[in-house]
Amino acid sequence: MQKEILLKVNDLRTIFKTDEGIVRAVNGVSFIVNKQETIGIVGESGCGKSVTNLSLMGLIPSPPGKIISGEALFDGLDLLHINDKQKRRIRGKKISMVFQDPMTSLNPYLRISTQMTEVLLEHENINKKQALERSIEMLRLVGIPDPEKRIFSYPHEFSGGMRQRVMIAMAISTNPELLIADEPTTALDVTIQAQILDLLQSIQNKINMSIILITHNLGVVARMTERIIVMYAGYIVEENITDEIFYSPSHPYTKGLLKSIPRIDEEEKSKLYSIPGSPPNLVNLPEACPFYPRCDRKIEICTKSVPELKQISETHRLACFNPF
Amino acid sequence: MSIKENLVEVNGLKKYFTVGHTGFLSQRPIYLKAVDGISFNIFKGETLGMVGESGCGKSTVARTMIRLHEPTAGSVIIDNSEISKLNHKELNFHRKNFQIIFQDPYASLNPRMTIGDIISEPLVVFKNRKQVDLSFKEIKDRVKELLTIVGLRASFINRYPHEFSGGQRQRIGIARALALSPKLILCDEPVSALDVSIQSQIINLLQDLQDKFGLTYLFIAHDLSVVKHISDRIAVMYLGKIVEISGYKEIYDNPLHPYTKALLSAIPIPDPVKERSRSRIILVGDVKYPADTFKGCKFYDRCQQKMEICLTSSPELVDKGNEHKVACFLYN
Repeated sequence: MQKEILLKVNDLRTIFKTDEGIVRAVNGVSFIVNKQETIGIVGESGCGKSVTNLSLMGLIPSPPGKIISGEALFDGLDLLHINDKQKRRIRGKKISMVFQDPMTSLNPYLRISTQMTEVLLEHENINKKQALERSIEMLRLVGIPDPEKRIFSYPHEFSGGMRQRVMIAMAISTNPELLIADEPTTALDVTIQAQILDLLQSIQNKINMSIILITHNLGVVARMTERIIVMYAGYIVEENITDEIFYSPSHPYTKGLLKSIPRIDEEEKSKLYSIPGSPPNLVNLPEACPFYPRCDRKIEICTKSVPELKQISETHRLACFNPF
Repeated sequence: MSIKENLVEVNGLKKYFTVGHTGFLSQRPIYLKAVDGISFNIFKGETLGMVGESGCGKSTVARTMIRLHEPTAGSVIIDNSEISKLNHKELNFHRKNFQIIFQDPYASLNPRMTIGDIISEPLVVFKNRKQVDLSFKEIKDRVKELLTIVGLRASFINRYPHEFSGGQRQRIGIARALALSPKLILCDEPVSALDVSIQSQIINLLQDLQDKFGLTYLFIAHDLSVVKHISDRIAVMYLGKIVEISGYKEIYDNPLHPYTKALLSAIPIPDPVKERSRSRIILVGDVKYPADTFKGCKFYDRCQQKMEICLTSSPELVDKGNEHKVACFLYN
């Protein structure tokens, strides 16, 4: 089956100017997203997974942030080099985003109805009444009970899980081709997380969109994704189809990460593996593998140059001088 | 096997917060029942895990046990003294037996104090009360020793919290909790603010310390995978009540309460093949606001196996053998 490419990102580099120096948050990231596919981007805080996607959406505050190189081809347009008018036409229409914190991503002063119809009136050629009907339909789709009444509520009248449902309803109301979900369930309880993940999957099947799922939770990506990108210190260190990442990881970081999480299905208790040290400061990244200070497989070359992300097989990309 | 001795006994502990009054000029208070009559024990040297979703009262249990909140009712016995009956002075004396580690390593260390001051503070306070017989030189040595114990360098003693990462700060919090050689440490979500690779370092450290000093832990977390890994027994809370309590293996292999079952099935496993083949119990609805005066089982509105009786009375914890207790009418 020939897969159709929806988004192609090439050599994206984003920096932030701070008092302490230049933070190199994203260092030459390239990847593709196929149509109707779910990919996961995993990594720890500060690895650049959110900044990568904020860059694509044109949401990097500048200053202090700056995209210094790269291109992101979507629908024949380079997302990184389009004007504001073109950006507005894509953002919220063809690419939508769901953020981590459902408490702060809705405007507390406006009714849900106002916030939801605003998106539709901006992007779709419909009148207010139709927009309201469509919004109610969307709320019903995401499982908000009694949507005809609830749509006139304010955000504070909803619980965290319900607010995240509203965010998802808003994001998918324009039938986007790509949904970027940045830690969509991290702020939620496990039983609510299960509801939201279920919802995302069933919606994806209905409207055929692609999803970029950004998370640090390896259990969530195991369940949701077909392909996984592992990031560390602003670099992609490994990419492969989900099963391969979990069952035969090649990068020492990927392997270490998988070994260091306690699992609910573990039979016998054994001591957890732990990666020594902590992630590097992105201000003064040396010209070396960013992971070498914590790596137990480091060899001399790791301390002298940055490993290139190489295509190992059709699905596998890896940046390591001494992989498993 | 020797007979297990209780270090902690909690009986009928309640903590109600007043959140308002019924109507204008009315004096009858409205309560938020954060902890609503719970009983459990912790054996010497074991780790009791306590899980539940946000707002279920698990942190309030820990804080009420050591009287950071005054309990509304119930008794707490730690190391043979009834904490809930002590006066202020006696309580302060006993505080060295139990310490607490907090969730947020950024908020729980005073940014204006050096690491040395932070860790030595409990020792200095008890020295001033003449309960610790150490010179200031000895206290300084003890702080250095504590820093090494938790895996930091003794030379960090004059640095400030902002110079450390989240994981290192959590180590400092642990060193402070260890300073008075307590018997019981209450760990309130000690790893939930940390990254995956740092989380395992702290879990391992807590386990090593337990082996080394014979500590007893109450380990509170919402992440069941972490709780399962570290605990000997696990208590599951829902809206201020313990709904199930059992050995860690038993509760995962043979969960009884419908809530425990749903909770376990909701946790994603980092194994794609297992994940795809799992059947999941998706609960409907959200956790209720705990102020309700509802007489029935608190899980009633989300339960898929509810019966008539669940609407009218609240189930008590019943022993089903094998130290497995559950509060559900399905098993009465």
